[in-house]
Amino acid sequence: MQQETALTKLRPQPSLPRRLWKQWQIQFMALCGIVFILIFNYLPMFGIVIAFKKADYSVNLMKSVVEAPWVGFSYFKEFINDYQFRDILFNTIGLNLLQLLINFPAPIIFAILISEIVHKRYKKFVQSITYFPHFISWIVFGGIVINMLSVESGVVVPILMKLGFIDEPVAILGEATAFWGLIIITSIIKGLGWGSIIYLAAITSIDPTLYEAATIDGAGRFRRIWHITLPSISGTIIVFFLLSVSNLLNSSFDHIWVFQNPLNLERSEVIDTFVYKMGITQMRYSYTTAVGLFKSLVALVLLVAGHLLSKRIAGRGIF
Amino acid sequence: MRSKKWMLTMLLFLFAAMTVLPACTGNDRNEEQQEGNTNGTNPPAQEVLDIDWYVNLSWWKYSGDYGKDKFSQLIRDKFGLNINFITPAGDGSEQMSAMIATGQIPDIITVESWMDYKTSLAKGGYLISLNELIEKYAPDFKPYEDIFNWYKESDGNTYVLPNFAYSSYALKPGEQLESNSAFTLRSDIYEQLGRPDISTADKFLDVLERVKNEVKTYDGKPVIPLQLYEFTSNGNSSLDWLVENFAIPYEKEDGTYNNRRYDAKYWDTLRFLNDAYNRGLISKDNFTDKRDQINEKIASGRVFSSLTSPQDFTDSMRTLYNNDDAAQFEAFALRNYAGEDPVLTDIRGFGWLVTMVGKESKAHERIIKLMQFLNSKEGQHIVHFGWEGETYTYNADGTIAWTEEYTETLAKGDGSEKKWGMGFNLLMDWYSVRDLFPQPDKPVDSYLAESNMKKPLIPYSYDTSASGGKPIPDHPGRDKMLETGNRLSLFWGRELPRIIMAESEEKARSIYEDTLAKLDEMGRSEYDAYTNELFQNAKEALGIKHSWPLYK
Repeated sequence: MQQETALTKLRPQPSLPRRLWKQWQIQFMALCGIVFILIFNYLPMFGIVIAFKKADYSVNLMKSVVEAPWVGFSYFKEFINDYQFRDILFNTIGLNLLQLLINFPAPIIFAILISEIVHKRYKKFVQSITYFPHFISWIVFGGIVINMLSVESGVVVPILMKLGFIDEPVAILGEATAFWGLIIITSIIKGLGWGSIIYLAAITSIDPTLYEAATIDGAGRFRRIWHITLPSISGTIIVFFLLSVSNLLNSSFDHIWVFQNPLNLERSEVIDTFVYKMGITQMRYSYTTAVGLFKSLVALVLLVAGHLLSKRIAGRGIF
Repeated sequence: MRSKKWMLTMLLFLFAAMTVLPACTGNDRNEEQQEGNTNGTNPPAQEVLDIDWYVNLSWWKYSGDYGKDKFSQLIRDKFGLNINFITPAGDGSEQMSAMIATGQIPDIITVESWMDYKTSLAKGGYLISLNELIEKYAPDFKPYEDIFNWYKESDGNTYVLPNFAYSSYALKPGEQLESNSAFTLRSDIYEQLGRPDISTADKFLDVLERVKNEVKTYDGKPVIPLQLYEFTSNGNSSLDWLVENFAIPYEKEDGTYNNRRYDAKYWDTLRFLNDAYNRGLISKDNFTDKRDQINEKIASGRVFSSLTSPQDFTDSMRTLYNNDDAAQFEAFALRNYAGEDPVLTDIRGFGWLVTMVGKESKAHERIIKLMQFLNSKEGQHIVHFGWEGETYTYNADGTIAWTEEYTETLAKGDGSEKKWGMGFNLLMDWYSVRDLFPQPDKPVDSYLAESNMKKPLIPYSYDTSASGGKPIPDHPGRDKMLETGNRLSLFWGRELPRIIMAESEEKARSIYEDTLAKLDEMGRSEYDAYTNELFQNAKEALGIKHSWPLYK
């Protein structure tokens, strides 16, 4: 024992395996995570090779990964030359950026509003009501929305007409220009309450003496929100911002799928729905792998940009 | 140094874990089955083999109470099989692709007959041919020759057996079948207008206009004069039926394939729909609704005429009828502007689902014997009618009558008829028993029975089985053509609503022409040449020179 302490004194850092061994319980837990990621995230990456091979319609995909002939970047070229390419890319990036811009801050604002409600029962009531839509699947929720938007029997169109927003009945689902708005609004309705939980938790953990002190100093409600609440939860906000940036190009597939129809296709086709149509239902494995890889590349570029931006503004990046 | 070694061990461990973990799944069953088989090729009946039967329909359910009902007991006792039915969660394409990719094939697979999977699986060497099985284990099993030939793959073997197929060998001479599609309109509203003349497309549209202006509502809700199917990314099925009603040929007089979309008469169908839309006869919702919403509209009585097939909306029609027994639909022949008779595809076909047997299955002999039994008269009577004396008796003319026991059990409505397990449809040969059924005694059933509802259209329905072509799996351009066909179809699906919704006929015409020009650019003529090859291949398999019924 004595000798060991002497050694540690000589070498303040014991060897790596020794240190790992000392905390093997913790390391084992981490290991499980690593194995999981290796199996489900890294191993499948070998499959990316089929983006450069001719494995469309292949009968035995596993065999094709190895044996199919190389075709270089032809599938990437095919996608870029596709007549829908510009629309798809524009929709994917535009829709996601818009969601980041609107749907990301919405729950924060909502959480602050909720936390300012003094009446306990009313607060709980509002929370339950806003959580509820989160538990309905997009297919069911979308079906309800489709019925509500119906030109002849829906409730939304008459309301909009009475309010004077539109002059004559409009099939909102059939208007390509309305599609993005529809997606933003429905995802706020469905996700607002649930998304605010984390921020509410962060707000409740703020030391109340700060508010008391500020009140004594004469700070009004907005001052307190601006100078105490927001700075206190800024850490949570940044973490969640980075997480959503890293998820940027992954459109919520079922959300878009349920509202998509040939009339709004121009603004509703995103990479994810395109890949589903071409890859899963048409068996064009190579082509869609190439499209998916292309999406990952774009996402990587955006991710790095987000990282640099956040480092500059918040002094804190992803990596 | 030591740390490096340790890292290496760690990595090795990881790779070991990675290779072992995926291998854990799914092997145990095979071993069990192999053990089961070592006990001899001709096992005693009491020893039951477990087999998997994959059915590529998410909604399909075994109709009885498997394991407890009489039908499954029969399968177990007579053939020594215990079937585990598997169905996909979605449309099945993921499961099928996974199956084709990995080669893990269940003992029996049933898929839709028009899907390519049967060829993919056969080409992958995952299936055993039925002719081989029949030769080996059931030499007296003789499926209909024309159907068996139709499903022959390029290697000369047949791997699948269809259900609901119509063999020309089985048909009575001169017999005409019901049509597949049937446009329907509401008798009560039509009556209210005094059953006006609808013998041409023009007159029909005028009647629709009267529905809109004179009838206006049903049950307080606005009536939709004309309901189409939902629009999908590939177009609208109503249009496919409309071209048949407008008698646009799919074959040129010289016997080559005719792309209807480019036929001079095709414009009439689009003009018809565009006109209907601009006169407010098609609802705007129609362009964004999915099937659920259409079901709801029919069920609530809001639809006057539907350019859809009634069999797709039986439930909605039943709901409507139960609320108002005057609100019935009747089939009518929609004619083109010149008033020519429609040329409809009849319900004949080479089947709905096809069933095939996995190569690696350990129960080949039992499976083919089961298939033979199910295809026999005895088997067909069991799946349709159950057991003589118990669920049905024969009338003097050979038709059947349900026993009291059966009708009473059915009337309970608690599913206790499941004890018999009748209604197993995967290998049903409907044609062989369709004339034996007793006439439904409830008025709603009699009204909705397909043979009754479609009766007015029988004179216009014909055998058009060659029109879809017969696939040539080994065709060198096949993959490219599949791709082109898919592209053309998606582009068409995108433009079609724009043509119908164009504000004037000239505008619609110009979008239509632009679309055709774009399709030409996308390789339409090559695709037509390919389709022609498949068409000729089909005519060859059927041994006919002309397929378009009016050329015969």
